[in-house]
Amino acid sequence: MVVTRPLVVIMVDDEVSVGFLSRMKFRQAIEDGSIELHFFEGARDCLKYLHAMKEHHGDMILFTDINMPSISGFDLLTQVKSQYPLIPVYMMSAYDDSASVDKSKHLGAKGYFTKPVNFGDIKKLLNVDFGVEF
Amino acid sequence: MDTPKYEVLELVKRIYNVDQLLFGKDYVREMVRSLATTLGVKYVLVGHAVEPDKTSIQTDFIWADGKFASNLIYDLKGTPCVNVICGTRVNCYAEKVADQFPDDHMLKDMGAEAYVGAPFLTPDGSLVGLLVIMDDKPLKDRELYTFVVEFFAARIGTEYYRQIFEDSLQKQVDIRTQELRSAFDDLQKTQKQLLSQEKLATIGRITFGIAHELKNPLNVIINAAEIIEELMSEQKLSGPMRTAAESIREHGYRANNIITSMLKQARQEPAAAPEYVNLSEMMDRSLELCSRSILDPDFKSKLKVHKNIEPDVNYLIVDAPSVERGFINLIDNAIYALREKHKDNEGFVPNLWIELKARIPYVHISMRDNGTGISPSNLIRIFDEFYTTKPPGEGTGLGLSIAKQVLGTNNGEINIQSTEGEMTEVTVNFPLLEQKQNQENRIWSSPDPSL
Repeated sequence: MVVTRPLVVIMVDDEVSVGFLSRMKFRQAIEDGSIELHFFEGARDCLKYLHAMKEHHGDMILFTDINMPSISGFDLLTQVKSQYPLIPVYMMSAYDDSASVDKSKHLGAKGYFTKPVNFGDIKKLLNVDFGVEF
Repeated sequence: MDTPKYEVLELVKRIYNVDQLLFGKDYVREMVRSLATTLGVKYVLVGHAVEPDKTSIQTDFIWADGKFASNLIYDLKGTPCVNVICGTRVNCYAEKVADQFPDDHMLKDMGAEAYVGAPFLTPDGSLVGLLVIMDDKPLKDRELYTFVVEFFAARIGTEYYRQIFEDSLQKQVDIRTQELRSAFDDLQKTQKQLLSQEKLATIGRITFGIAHELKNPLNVIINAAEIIEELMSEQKLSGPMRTAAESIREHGYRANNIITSMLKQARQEPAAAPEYVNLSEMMDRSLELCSRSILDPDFKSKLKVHKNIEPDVNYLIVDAPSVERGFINLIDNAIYALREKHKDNEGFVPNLWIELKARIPYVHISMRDNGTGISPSNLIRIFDEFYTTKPPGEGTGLGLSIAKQVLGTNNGEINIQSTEGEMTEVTVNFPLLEQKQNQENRIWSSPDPSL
């Protein structure tokens, strides 16, 4: 029996509703076991989790808001890129000005989603990059 | 000189015995009186050369026969004065002066027998005026009178120079004051403009912040509504709850679009992706908006709008909100000009012609009004940033410069023709844009393995 490891999808946003939205939007794949969703309200909790998962084998992907209190999305991006360079990081933000986009790219983000987030696009991405079916 | 020296001194002292606190014209008047009475002559006159030719003398003071007489102008030609001026030195005719100048009627009328005249000049030698003493009897001591007249001509001259100097100084002060006033007005105008711009900039920044912050709750609204719809669909439910969820999602998107277009307005960055726009509808909307904002009911009812808008002219436009704002500005300007003319003219019928047609590969737009028009000097500067003829607070002077910019981004052209007082016509032409890839709210398209 071949057990495919689920794709670990990490969502970081200071807006707790985003956790609910993601859970509902991905509920099919979560139930199927192709996605394991982890939502964190702050970067600190996210980093704690990543540290604990250091030995984890399997694909991970991170989506993060930019404007967050205490540790910003850019700070999180920088830390993840330095400590866990294999995890692709995507930004999600209400700000779509070229300065923010350029900075994200420069710091190593793989993509940029503007709010309101089109989950269809995210699903497409997960499908193309990781073969997740929805 | 026949007269003994001490007597000459006494004479000069007596003539000079005039209130030294007097100056200018008052001093000269007293001098004239003093000369006449001390010397015991019938006539004393002081006058200045009339500009610019200096061929005649305007007297400032004439003492005749014991009192001041009314002033007059006399032509120098044929008078002994001409020699005074040409010779630039004192001239003296001790007797029979009238015979020597037969053309000088004044001498005859005055019964002049003796004449002594001396000029006073500017430092560079040009004539300012002259002092003349005349009598109906011959002069006793030629030398004495020559000396006295020359001496006091110089003294009187000083008073004239003082006046000339003061006048020129006053003129300079006036010019400088005017310049200062003008500069001050400019400064005030600039300050008002800066304040407006500052306000605009602040509003822009606030708008920017608010707009972005609103996107967060909208994210939740739209997506949560979609989730409701999806769940209901799964459970094969429909009905009012489903409809409600749909409405929430639709209006969430609508709010989002409003914010997005508002952001585009507030942003100074180059425009986003091009999109298909129904220009005819855009023009109609702009016209509607401007017409609705007319407050003056009398003007509004008189205004005749001639619309010739070809329907459904759809073109790819970059930065559509700014183009729309450009249309609004142009129509607004026309209405402003018409309103201004309407204010001063009772019988004036304001007319506005708006035309939009597609002539592949161009869209041609023209707006014409029979309002106040634009003067040639204003026309040259009309697209300059912050250039406006509206009073401060009413216009920033940015409308046309921004309109020109956004049309330029669309490879378009704007031209303005005007006849001051009669009409203004604005024509806009812009060509079809090539199809560009449509970007949604994903900044990067599908995952690129090369990144």
